[in-house]
Amino acid sequence: MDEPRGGRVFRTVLQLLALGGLFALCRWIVIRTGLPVPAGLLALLALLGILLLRIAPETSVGDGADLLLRHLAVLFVAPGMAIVRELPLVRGHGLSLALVLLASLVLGQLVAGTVAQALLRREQR
Amino acid sequence: MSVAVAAGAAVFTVALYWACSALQRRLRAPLLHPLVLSVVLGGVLFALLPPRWLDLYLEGSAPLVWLLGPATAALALPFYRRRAFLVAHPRTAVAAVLSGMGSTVAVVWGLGALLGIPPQLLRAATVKSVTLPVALGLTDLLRTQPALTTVCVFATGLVGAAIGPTLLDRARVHAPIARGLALGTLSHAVGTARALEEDPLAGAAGVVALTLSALLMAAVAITAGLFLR
Repeated sequence: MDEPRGGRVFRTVLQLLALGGLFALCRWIVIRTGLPVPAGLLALLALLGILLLRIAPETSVGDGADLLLRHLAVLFVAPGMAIVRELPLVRGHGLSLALVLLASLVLGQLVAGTVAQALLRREQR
Repeated sequence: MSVAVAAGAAVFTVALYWACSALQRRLRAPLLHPLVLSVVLGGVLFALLPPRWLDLYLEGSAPLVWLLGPATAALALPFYRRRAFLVAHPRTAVAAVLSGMGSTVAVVWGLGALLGIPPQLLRAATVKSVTLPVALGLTDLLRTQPALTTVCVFATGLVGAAIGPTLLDRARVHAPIARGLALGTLSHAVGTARALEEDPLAGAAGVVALTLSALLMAAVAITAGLFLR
């Protein structure tokens, strides 16, 4: 892997543009057809289809996708900050909501783990 | 929206996140994720300023938030790379995701109704275990707010990754695949990162579980949305 750095940056930028283009296309389709599917999800399914059908290889979007996913958390700052606007709705229910989140998390994790382990044992038999 | 507002919002977001990352490296507390610190610090700042500052910031953040779309598409890559895991354990993976998601949503609605939590909050809590870019895509369908969804999802990810391994130890779930499936189904990417620290196979299971659970929840939300219209 002695590719020059500039080449790699250029390729990653192109891949980001391709991912952006795919999403923009899916958004356009969703708006035009009124399809009740989030555009991002449609783009995910489309990309999965493209990869599985070998229309494009993994290397054609891999670096760009990895870059986006590595810095994903930055994109949640603004949506998260809007919680300031929702405080009146949360007020009075904060503790109950925390309890619901915790109880459902604990039970779900135990159920998923136990079910998976039981099925794995059966697979091995 | 002017370019200056968008640029200002982007610079503010990145600078805040970067500063919070540096702070977290000093504090070394996993629950104080840079995103949590950013939202708390930024939230306090905007609560002190006149409301139109937050309006302006959110308006200017639109291009950054738009990137969540391509980022959602990018989730196809990790799943594609670990598709061999799904081919090897299809039934186990699907059963773990279905049972984990089913039981967690049942508790959200059952306990939530018992405690008198408003439906709008419960709808946000319903997608708490779904990877955030997909969960945010479902907010319109579920008629809830992105902010509530972000808080519920991220809290679930962080807490699940923190307590999940101990919980699974107690329940004697020791198989790496089972642990990865449980962490990925309930605590999406944060849980998957934790699973990957334990074992590469657990990490692969986590990636498959987080993708399957997102697709499952999206299918349910889209179907429910069709009936609710």
